[in-house]
Amino acid sequence: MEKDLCMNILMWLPVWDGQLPIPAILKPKMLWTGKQILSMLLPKTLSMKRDAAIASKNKKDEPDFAASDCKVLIVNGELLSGIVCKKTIGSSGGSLLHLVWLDSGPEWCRNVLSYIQKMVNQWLTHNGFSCGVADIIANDQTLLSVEKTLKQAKKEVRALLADAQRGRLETQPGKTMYQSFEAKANQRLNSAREDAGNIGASSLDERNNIISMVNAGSKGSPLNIAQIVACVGQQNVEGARIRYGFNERTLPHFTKDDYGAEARGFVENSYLAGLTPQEVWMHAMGGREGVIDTACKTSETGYIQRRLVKSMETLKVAYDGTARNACNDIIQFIYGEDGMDGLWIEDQTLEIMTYDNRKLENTFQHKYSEPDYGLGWLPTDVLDEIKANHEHQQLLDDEWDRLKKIKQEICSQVYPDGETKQHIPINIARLLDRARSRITEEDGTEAPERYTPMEIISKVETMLKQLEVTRAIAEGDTIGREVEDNAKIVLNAHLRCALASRKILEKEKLSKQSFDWLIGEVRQKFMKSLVHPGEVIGTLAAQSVGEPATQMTLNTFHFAGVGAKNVTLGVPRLKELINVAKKVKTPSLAVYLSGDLGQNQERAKDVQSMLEHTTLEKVTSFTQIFWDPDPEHTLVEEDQEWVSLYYELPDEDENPQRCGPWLLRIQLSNKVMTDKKLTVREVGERILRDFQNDLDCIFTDDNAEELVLRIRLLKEPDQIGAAPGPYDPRDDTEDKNFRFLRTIESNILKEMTLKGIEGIKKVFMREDKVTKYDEKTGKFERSQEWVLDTDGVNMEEVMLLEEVDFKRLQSNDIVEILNVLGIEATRKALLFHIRMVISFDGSYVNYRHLGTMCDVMTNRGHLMAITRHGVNRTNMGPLMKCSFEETVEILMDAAVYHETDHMRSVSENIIFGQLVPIGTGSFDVHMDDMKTADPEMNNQPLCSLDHATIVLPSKSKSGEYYAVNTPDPLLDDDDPENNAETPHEDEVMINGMFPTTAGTYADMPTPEVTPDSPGDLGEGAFRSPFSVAGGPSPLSARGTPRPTPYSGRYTPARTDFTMASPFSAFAYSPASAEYSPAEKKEDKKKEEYAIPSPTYSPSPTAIYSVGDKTQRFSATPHSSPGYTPVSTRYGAQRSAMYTPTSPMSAPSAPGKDKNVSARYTPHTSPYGISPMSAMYTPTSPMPGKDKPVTPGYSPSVMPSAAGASDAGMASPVIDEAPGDAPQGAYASLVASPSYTPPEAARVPQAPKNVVFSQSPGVTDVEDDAQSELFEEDDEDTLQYQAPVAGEGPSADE
Amino acid sequence: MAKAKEKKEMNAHPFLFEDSFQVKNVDDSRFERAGRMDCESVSYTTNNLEIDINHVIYPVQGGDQIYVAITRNVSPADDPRKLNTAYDHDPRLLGRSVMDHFDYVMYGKVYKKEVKKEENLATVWASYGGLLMKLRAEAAQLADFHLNDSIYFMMRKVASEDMDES
Repeated sequence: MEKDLCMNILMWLPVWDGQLPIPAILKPKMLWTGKQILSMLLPKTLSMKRDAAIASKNKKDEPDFAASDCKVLIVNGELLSGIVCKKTIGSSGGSLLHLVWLDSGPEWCRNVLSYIQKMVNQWLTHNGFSCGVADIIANDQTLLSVEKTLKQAKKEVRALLADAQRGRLETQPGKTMYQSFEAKANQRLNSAREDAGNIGASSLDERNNIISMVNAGSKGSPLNIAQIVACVGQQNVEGARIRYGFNERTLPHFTKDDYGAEARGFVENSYLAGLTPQEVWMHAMGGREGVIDTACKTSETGYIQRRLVKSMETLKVAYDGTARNACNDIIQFIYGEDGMDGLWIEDQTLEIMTYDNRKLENTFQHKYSEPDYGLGWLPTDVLDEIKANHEHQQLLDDEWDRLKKIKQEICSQVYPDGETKQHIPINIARLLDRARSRITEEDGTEAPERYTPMEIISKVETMLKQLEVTRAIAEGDTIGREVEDNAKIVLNAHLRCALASRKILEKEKLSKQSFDWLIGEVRQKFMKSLVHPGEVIGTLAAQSVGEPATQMTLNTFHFAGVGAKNVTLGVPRLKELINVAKKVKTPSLAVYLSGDLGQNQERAKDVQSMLEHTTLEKVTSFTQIFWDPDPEHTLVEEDQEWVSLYYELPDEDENPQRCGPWLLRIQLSNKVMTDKKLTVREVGERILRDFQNDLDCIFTDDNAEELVLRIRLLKEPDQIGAAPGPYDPRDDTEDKNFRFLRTIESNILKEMTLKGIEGIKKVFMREDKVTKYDEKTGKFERSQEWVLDTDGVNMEEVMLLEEVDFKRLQSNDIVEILNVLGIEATRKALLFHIRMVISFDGSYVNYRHLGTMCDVMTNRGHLMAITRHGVNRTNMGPLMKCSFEETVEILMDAAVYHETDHMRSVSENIIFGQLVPIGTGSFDVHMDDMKTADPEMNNQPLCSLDHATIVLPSKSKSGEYYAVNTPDPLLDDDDPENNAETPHEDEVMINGMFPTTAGTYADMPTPEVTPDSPGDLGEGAFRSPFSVAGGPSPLSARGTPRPTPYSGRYTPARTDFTMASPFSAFAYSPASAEYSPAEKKEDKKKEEYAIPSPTYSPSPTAIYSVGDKTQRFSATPHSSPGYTPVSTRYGAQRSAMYTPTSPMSAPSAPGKDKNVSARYTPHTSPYGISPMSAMYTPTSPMPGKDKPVTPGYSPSVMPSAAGASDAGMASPVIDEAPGDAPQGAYASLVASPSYTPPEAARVPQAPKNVVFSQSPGVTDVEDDAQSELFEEDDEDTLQYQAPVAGEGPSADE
Repeated sequence: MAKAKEKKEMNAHPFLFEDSFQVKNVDDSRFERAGRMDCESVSYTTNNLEIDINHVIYPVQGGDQIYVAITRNVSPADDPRKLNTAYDHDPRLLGRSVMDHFDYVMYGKVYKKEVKKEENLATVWASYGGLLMKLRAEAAQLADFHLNDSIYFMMRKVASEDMDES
């Protein structure tokens, strides 16, 4: 191009230095080429080589010197040859843009993108580009040839039709004649369109503007050209040729029953030639379907994507490298199982897999004992040294051994399918290229200095040691080490193979500098490729799966070879998988045969017939019932001959006398019988066996013309010989027999399985490729194998067959796999099937995304559907859930049950307009509570501060999660006094009240709880998320009940505790009090509870809640979900108690019965009820009246409360009101399960007094909150009660 | 030939390669302005040159005889320097240059070199801004070519009647 244009274009390049490059042509006049201009945009580090799109049409071109310029070659940022088309720039992996992104970063990448466009625009102002009708007119000869092709196709279709109508067409397995015809006709017509299109396209030359567009990849495809120039082709609706919409025809223009090409929607004209009216109609039908399809699928895939995002949006990479959700559940131990960021992963060849053993040896092994070793690539001094030094030799041998081991592992375990193209970070091949180009220095001389093999090995080893995915593995942390090693298996193989000492020296000939550069670069790329903590991998995965789904054509069906097994694919199948559909549309098993059975088609066929479920009905042509009283001389003419023959040679057990007069005659189909490999004998004997003494069955032999079974009822022995009496209208025996026979007929037809496995409706055979790794040669060997595909599933039974290789049996019904094989297998299968759906239409989604998705769906041990039924049943916060679906329901429930949202994931924070805790937003201020401690306040830190920040209760480690944003409504106002006064529960316990319990505590994992330091406890309480209010919680009736965000998480799994309790009666009660409440109460306990109980019962802590009317004491409703009373640990003992459903409570039954029952009505009961309160009941005879009775007090209270207040037990601390004792007692009752609403009525009287220190979780309770009862085991309660009861009374005044 | 030697002497930079070729044919079917010229050496039977040229500004026909020289630097003999940009090549700035003796000059880069030892032959591929060249000659003749060398390709017609320089 001329200088002026060149300048104009370069003006668009903001990075341009104003200097024109040396022109490609200097004389006769200076001219530049477009390649030079484009090169100015490219980073100098870029080198690549690939084919342009037109390469496939110019295969004859000399490589590296293509006449058509179809080989793109870029060296050091200079475009040396090739037409840069979409294939080079475009979206594929390893494209120019990709490389610029990887090697030069986002800014370069942006520059390339923008300025290519700007420069091209400038170019187009000088050189216009347009296309017109002239571009699409083909010459006459072409049109003739197109016409000929189409005529031929139509003729063939007519011939096919004739064959089909005369029944001569060979039907394909599993299809009817008509279907076979349709399939063939469709196939033929499509290929006609293709041929015609090729003829048409080839008539247009390369300089044709439309062809240029297609070749460049800007717009249009060969199909478009074919339709414009040659022939529009067959129109399809619902995957078939246009159906008859009128009576027996598509349009009135055709005769009836015309199955020909034109009548069923074949458009033979081109767009250029113009369509006939009929063709326009057909084309419009097809076109309309396409439009509708697009409309439907956009909404459908859009919804799929939304659900995917919503189900995974909380996932992020934690700072320890694990992938976690908002509940901090670990989804993956290392993200993607390699800890890498998907962004830096490239398609690469795993070199080590491409070498067979011999080649591996020749490339990598140091054969220092051979005479020609090292010639040409090792300096003699190094050579001598190696030959002389045993240590060096050992080093080299070690390297070789490692390589061998790696190859073995990779080939036989990691990628046994022999696929060498894998997705790995660090493109070592490109780095090697660049390293090689660094060997020569600026002045063209080669830097001769090289490392010795030993140096290379040690450098590589040191580097590999530095590459750590999880960066902090403690000394002796074997599990961490294993995780780390597993994450790097593939990467190690990849790097070791590329950096092996012999290869580096002999093949790559890297100098010292370039090798050092290479090592440094590898290290840097590795660091770059690691996934960043805080990365929102869930959303990433969701979008990575959702995007290809958008590209899928809606109702794709797949025809696997001739077998014609139809499988759901595309969006419907993806939906099935993601929704965890119980009913799969096309259930199917892939059955691989064990041993070498698969090699043998005949034997595979045997297995096929073994699998296919066959009932008698399937092999029957027809059945008849005759009145045929004489078994030996039948009235049925066809059978006379063989029946008489049959009875000529009587068997021992043959007894024609016993036979009834009614005859059921079943004629079997010869053809089906042979198909199924069944004999009449088998069928007959099966019937005899099933109805041993009730039926007689005789049958023809297999060679008979008609295969017949004759079945008769057998008379009772006593009727034998009784000649049929004279006709008696009142005797309906025969009538009954007849009807009975009919029942039997339908029974055996439908239900008798002759062969096969239930549920397997049909079995297709297919030849499949299998790859096996041969350890001896180191090669992968591919072979063919027969595989059976079934229609219908029954994994459990099929697996049992000896002929079936159960290890490879694969069902496409995920739920079935879960039931048969369990969750791990399910995950694998889910991955397999999702990948199959996605890869079917050519997309690829990296494993880490699919893996993340499958992990989310399976990590709870069961399948979680990506729907509201799955996602909204998790223990995410209500805000997150309500932003998905069922908004009102969820919010209502959250309100009613006092749920807490910890604001830990994305949606909640967006709702609140806060910074979302992902990426760099994952941080928050941590406050040291102790710094705010006020000595006056018993060293309790200021609560308000506590709650303003995320609190990590130091005492209770469990706090971690909960701490976030706990609301602390009440706190300030409540009297500090209460708090102060309140004796600590712990103390109480310690005091020996409950010696046993104390002991138990000690045993408990969380020593911090230790009763010893009351002060601490108090503090702990404060901090503990539970007792927002802080100290008071345990103690003061008033202050305490703050909204404790119990996080649902912790289940009261303190087995220990309970265990202990039984021992000491005393202890028990208190203990118990604590216990139930405990869950709520104590921070310490929290830890224990921390075990997330998945089962969480909805009504959180109804338990304690003491709902005063005052409302102050509420159980910790929020608390959560997590906490199921029924913690596994609890096990049998406790579990009963907590059961959430408290029928009792609801009624608010005043009755003591309830008390007795030991149930706690959590919410309802105005007074905190401790589960333990079993005691209560017994103790307090008069629950209704006397508050004093309050069992709650039970002994425990006594001690704690300083005697005055009974309430002690439940709430270790009771406020002032000794006088009120009764009331207080009630309150304290937390412990006492018996509290029932009636009491509530009383409550008002002693609202203040009541203290539930115990229930840390106590929060405000709505009066009308639903109460849930927790039932205790009878046994437990009894046990407890007894002791408590004794004390209870005593405790009370 | 004699003249060529003369020029060589006055040039500060020796030619990496020089030879006379007979143009066998020019294939201009594929691109509008570029044609691939196929030439055979007049003096050495083994030498063969294929090169894309702009045949619009410098038409060449089959049968033409051309003289070709390749060098690394075209700066004047009395003022050798490194030429980096188009401006450096402006005749007004450059002064006297070897280029003055040629009619058609291109600048490009060697992107491939192959040596066949047993036949004593070498082949060099170069790209002049996308115009490719493949030059095959005796290994010794191409010994000075290295990968990624920047080179100038210079040629002029000889032996045709109207062509007479000096």
